[in-house]
Amino acid sequence: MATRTIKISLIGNPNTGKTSVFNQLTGLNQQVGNYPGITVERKQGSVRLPGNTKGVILDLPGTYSLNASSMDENVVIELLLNRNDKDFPDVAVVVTDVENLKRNLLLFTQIKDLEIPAILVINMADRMERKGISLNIPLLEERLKTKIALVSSRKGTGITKLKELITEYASLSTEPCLNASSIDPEYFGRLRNAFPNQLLYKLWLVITQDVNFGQLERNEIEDSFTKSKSELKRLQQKETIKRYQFINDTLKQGMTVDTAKAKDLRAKLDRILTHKIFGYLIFFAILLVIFQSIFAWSSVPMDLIDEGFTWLSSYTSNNLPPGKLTELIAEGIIPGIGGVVIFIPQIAFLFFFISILEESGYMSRVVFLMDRIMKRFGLSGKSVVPLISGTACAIPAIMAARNIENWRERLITILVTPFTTCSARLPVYAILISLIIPQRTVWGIFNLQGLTLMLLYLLGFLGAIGAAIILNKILKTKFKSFFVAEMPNYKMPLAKNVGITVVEKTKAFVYGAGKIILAISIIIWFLGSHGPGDKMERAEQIITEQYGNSLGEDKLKDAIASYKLENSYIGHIGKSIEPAIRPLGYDWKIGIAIVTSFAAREVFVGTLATIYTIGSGADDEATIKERMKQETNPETGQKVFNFATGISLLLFYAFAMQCMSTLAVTKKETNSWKWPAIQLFSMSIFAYLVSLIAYQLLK
Amino acid sequence: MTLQEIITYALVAVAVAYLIKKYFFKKKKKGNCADDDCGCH
Amino acid sequence: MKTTLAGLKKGQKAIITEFNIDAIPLKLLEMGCLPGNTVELLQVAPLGDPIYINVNDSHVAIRMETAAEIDVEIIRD
Repeated sequence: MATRTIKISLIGNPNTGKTSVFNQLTGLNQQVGNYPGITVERKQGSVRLPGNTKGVILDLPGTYSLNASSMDENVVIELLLNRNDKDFPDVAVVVTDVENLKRNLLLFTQIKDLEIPAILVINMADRMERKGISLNIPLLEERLKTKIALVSSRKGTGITKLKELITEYASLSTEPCLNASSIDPEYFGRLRNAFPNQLLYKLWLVITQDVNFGQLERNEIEDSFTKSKSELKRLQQKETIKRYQFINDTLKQGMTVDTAKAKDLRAKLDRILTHKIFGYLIFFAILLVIFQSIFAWSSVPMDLIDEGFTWLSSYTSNNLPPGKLTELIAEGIIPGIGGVVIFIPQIAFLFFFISILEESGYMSRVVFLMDRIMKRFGLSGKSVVPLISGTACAIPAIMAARNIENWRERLITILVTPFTTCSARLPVYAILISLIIPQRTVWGIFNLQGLTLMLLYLLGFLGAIGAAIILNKILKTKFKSFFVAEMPNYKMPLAKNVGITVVEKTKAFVYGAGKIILAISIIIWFLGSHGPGDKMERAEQIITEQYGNSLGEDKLKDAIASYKLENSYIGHIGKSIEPAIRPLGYDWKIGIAIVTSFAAREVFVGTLATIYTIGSGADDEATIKERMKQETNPETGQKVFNFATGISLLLFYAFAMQCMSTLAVTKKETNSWKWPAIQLFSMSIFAYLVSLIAYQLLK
Repeated sequence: MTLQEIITYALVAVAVAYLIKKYFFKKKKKGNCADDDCGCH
Repeated sequence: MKTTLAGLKKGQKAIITEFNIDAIPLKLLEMGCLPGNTVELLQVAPLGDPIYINVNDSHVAIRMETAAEIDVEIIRD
């Protein structure tokens, strides 16, 4: 028997556990991508349903209603209004939280008005008893004209029932639960007569929203039915009131809450976590713990990975048949991949902590706590989320700024987020810190290297705040600032959700950045082992003639290798930019690494690894860190990575805008080349100046 | 040219092509936002 | 007693009577911040702004400038 496929859309307010329901249904059978042309995350998964049926589930972005106020919410409306869309659902599964049922039902009644078969999932059923909530399911099903699945995504209960309901979706009623057009009978009557074949509620959404609708053109209705913005909003208010009247009536009969039983943990936690002193102390303590543990926990796997790839590289070069391809693999590809793999541990830890902060509901309290302070810098309390998640990667962080209602606050957030220390800077910091800062314990508990790292993070935040202050002075606007932040209830983060986030994000990051790093490594290797003229071919001869037999065999090999590197294409490029970077304390090899890191910062370590691998006699088994330590300036005989150069490099990486992907996202989110260009030039010039001053003072 | 060299240069060419495609020919479809306040209606 | 949402003290409950609709984001209406609904001031942020309210069983934080546009009638201290 052929399998039947059902298309399912998962819809719901933010903080209803929608993603947990999605994870329960699909497990790891999910693909994360983007909607074409926009950077809204598209999550799809599949589930096996009873009766030889397969379900394809689309997890739509969380939305409070069908009145779109962001790009993410537009995706939901555009899909639900377009029956020809290939993702148009056979059935909509609307997820609600039993504790916020009243508010969550607003979206449900809107979806019912679109006459799409809809199943109502009431999630967090395990909390009902503790909260003293009881539901009359048959009555609710009858009033809401739907089927209800009581689910606990935390405990995994009710999922089987939900799967059965999905399979039987054809028997669901598509009748709306209330008559929303009664808010202005005259107006809706005229609409009905003008477009007899269209759903009334759909027409209403087209009039009030600014979204694309496929076959139904906006301008068709524009003229005779347009109303002023203010009139439309008044009608939307009426509509909302009407819906709440219906919902309140329904819940009065279908739901009882025994308030005596509802002991409120939320109030107690809120009192502590948003306390005027403890609130801030707890927040900074949490940040400190996160950064200390990232550095402490990931150093062991990072060293192992470094040594592993070094070994693999020398093993390959000794055991494969000699030739160009072997050289490419041993000196280009393997060190290049090593440069990606090495920061998997740190990224995984960062996403682990960030997803715990988000899942637990704590992040919203930080938003509340910080809004007043951030507002002074032209930011919003909600800017805290991009600024903190920017420590993982600026790309999702800039996208997270979409929640900010005010355009100006959002723009400033987007522009300053790249200052926060993203995980791509970590490998650079890690290796430089380990070269120039001694491994020591200060004040009994703090690791001096960890403390330096903490300081660099702080520097990133200060950079962001400083830039915001300047932008706040420059940018003028007429917009009024709005700020509405939901404060969700506290929840114990689910291991499964955190795990899936960590795996998915790490995978996306490694594959995304990995391909670029690999390609750049190959090119660097090529440019480093080939050169103009015939100097490369005659290198052995020239060096042997120059030194005769005065050097030992190993020394001679190294001398030949570095002569080759200097005369390669990359050597020529590096030498030509050296005058510009010499005042910062860098030699031409570091210069090459900086140039390549404008594609992506993490390339720095990979590039140096490739350059030093080519530049040494290939059977050298030193790790990249050891090679950097040994590197000396041939003219002065001093160590290249001394304290002054190290600090100068750290500062350069702290402030320079070196990430093409971030610039691309800024372009997408602001819809203009102006802002990414400003980011690129102002940040890089600032970084150059700061590093210059630091080096000149310290040398 | 040996087989190793041929494969090597082919890989270098692929790497260059990939980067060019990634950064210079990344065709984007039209977004669905207004001109200046993308996503901020 | 009549006042605005910005004039409530921590722990006070009130009923929303009226507001300037052009100054209120639609999202707040959808959260249930509508005339006739009860609102309780739960927390004030350390620096006096924003405030954290429970309206129609929705827990939301809004800024004082928005709260000042919402007229309320205090029902319980």
